[in-house]
Amino acid sequence: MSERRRVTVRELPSYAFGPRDPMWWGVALLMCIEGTTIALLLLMYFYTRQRVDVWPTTAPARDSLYAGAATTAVLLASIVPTHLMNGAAYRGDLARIRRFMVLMTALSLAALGTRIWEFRALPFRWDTDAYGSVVWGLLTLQTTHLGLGVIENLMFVVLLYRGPVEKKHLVDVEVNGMYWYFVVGGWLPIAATIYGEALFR
Amino acid sequence: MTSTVATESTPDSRSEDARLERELTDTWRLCRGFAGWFCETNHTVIARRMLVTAFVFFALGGVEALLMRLELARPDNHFIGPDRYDQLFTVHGSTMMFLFAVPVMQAMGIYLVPLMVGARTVAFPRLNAYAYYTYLIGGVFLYVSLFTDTGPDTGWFSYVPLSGPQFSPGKRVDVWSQVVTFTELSALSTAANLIVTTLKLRAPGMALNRMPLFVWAELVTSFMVIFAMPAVMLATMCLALDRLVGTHFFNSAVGGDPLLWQHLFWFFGHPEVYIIFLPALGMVSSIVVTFSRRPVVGYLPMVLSLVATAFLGFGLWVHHMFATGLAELGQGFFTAASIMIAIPSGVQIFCWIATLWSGRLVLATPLWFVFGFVAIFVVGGLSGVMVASVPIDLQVHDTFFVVAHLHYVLIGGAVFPLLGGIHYWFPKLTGRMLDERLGKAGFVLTFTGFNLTFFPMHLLGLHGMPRRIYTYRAATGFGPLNLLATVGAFVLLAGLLVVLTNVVRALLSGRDAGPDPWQSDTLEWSVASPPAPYVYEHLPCVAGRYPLWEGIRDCVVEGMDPRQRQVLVTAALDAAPDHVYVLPGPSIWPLLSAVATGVTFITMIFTPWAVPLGLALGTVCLVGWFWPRPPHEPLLAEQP
Ligand code: HEM
Ligand SMILES: [Cu+2]
Repeated sequence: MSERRRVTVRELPSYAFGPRDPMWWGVALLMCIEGTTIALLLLMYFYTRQRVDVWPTTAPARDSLYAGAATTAVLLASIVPTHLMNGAAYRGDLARIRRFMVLMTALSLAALGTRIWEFRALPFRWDTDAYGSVVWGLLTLQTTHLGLGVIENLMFVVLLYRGPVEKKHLVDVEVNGMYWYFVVGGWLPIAATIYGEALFR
Repeated sequence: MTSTVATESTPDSRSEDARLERELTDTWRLCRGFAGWFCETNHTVIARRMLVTAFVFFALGGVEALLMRLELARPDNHFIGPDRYDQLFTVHGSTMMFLFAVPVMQAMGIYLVPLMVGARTVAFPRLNAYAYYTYLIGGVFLYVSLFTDTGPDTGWFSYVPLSGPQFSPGKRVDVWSQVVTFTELSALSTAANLIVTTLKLRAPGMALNRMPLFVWAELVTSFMVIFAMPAVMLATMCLALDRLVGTHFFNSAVGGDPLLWQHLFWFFGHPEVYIIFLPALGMVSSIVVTFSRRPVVGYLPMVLSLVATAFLGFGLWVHHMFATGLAELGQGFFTAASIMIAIPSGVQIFCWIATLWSGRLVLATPLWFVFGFVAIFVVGGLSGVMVASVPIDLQVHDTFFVVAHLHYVLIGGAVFPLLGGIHYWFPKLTGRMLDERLGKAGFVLTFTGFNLTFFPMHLLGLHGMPRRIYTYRAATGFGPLNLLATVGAFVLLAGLLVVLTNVVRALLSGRDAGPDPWQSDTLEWSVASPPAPYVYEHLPCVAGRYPLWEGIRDCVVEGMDPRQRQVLVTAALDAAPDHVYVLPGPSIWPLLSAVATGVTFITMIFTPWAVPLGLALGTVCLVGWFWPRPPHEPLLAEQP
């Protein structure tokens, strides 16, 4: 006969929010990877900048500033439904989750639209000079994050309306919201770098 | 939540156990048949494939090395010629670094970490399969290119402007940059998987300060991967763009800078060395503890050294650029940092020596490889401290002294511990014992061969023989030492063949190993060899650092449902049980996604239309991958 200690896990829940959830960690690490890439590309921008006499070699036009401001405004606005959506996810309120998810997706699509405007407004190309390359690089990098976010949002809209919606999907909604915060947050230093210079010259 | 009950092995409890085993076997059943091969996501299966693949690449890289050694064996040799030699050293270096060393260390992690922390599998089994296939496709692509005479030829770090559009027309460098992107994508996915597995799936009670040192090493390494690999992915992307669509990131004529490439590459490249080396240190710790039969001396200093190495590893990259004419202050700083990193490595070496000194030694083959590691690595460390000083580096930069140094560090620091680890864990992976006599013979031959090959290279370098030359004149006097190095390479080959023979023999007719042939301390030795697909019948819980020496069978987790692929998620710090999570089963989508990635990256070399193509394929794969499974969980009350 032997003494056995037992740890019973029968009563434990099948999902949990925030850092308790493995997927949350997965996406957090993805954000670390993408965040490092943004930081390095920004460093490349400033590295190149100190080697060139006239910078920016071709200043972004007025139109670029409007386009960049539009993207920034749309992205900042999208934070509100994201925040409300997360709140609804904690409460398990499917109707509200759906509503805010649709709103957020619409705004993310709008940001993709203004992004196209941004690209078209730039008065130089990626192959004009090193400045052109690094600005196009920054915009393209952020567009891939944006694009990934949009695809995810659309998938969630389909899931939420087609069902079946399980409780653990609430966590996925929260994690998706977190990634979206990152998309918006990652854009701000890029926007400040690309357009700030032209603004305060 | 914890209760103590008295249990007896009654007929009742035995039939209970049999039922549990049946249900677990059913739930975690491996895929069968030809199609099943491509759907499998079980972590031991994928890790085994990664290991075999990595060793195949090791063999290919070894063949290239031997060809180079044959070419250099005597002066004025022309059997390979300059163009082919360039491809050989480039593909050899890239294979060893990107297709062998990093993946092999990650594969050991993927196999062992879940077992060691008491989990049934990794946190993201599908991501794991995806990582494997991307790596495989990248490696095959490199070799298809080599065999069609488009092998990269600009060295394993492909400096611009040599690798830029002006001096390297054709597709060779494009192949290289895409292969690097493939392997980094794979490494990043695996690193994320290992981190989450370690932080979230540990057995109840395994607080961070009770984790085996090997798990710590893999954890720290994985964090280094997360922050280092983006630099090289970004660099190779920019290089590809410069070459393919005419950007000017590295073009000095219009504001770009070739040195920027070196900064980006070495910001990754130096940590890369530690990414290869830290898991090897973890293996050494496991081996030392088991074969000295005592707890490790200085667990905390060991962990802190690993972490310190990781941080310092990011502050050293400029020592690869001393010959580029940097500011004095910068040189001083990076010299100091480079010498400082010897401290944490030294701390670990002293801790092992103290452990061995005060333990009851069991002189099995794995321990011999550890001794070999210490000897070689100390020499590599000393030549490292030498080249960390700028005046010496300027003398020996781009000579065979550096080739000697880097092989002492990489082979001594990674391959010897790895071979020790293979001898140590082989019984776990296969259920068979390796032969000790062959094992020791293998060690003696590899150790001798290694030193014969690479020690002469120090001298050749000091005498001024440049690296990356396909031949040399007899008048240089480099002949005899080169011949010695080539002879050494064949001795090394003989040693590796003995190791291989041992492995094959054991697979065919090795002695049965049983679960714990070495009387080890960590959890992986508490399960069958090789482990069942579900690994643990009852998830364990632990109360110390050396669970098997402390009586782990006294504590089990109960209440998991064997009819679902459940894993127990615990808290990141103290590993308190938190929730029970159901994993997805096998799937074809990881393979399809990897193929989509491959098609996109390879097409990119030929046309920018790869971008929309990749977008379309990527979307399809995302949808397929995340397509909801039939629900097995409580649904939200309100449904469409
Ligand atoms: C198995 C025995 C090995 C032999 C005999 C060998 C031999 C060589 C030789 C002859 C060179 C070329 C020297 C030159 O002409 O510049 C070389 C380069 C190199 N080797 Fe090895 N090597 C071996 C294993 C490894 C391993 C295990 C690694 C890494 C984990 C490695 C990494 C490298 C690297 C990074 C280079 C530099 C390539 C370049 O110049 O771009 N080698 N090796
Ligand atoms: Cu270094």
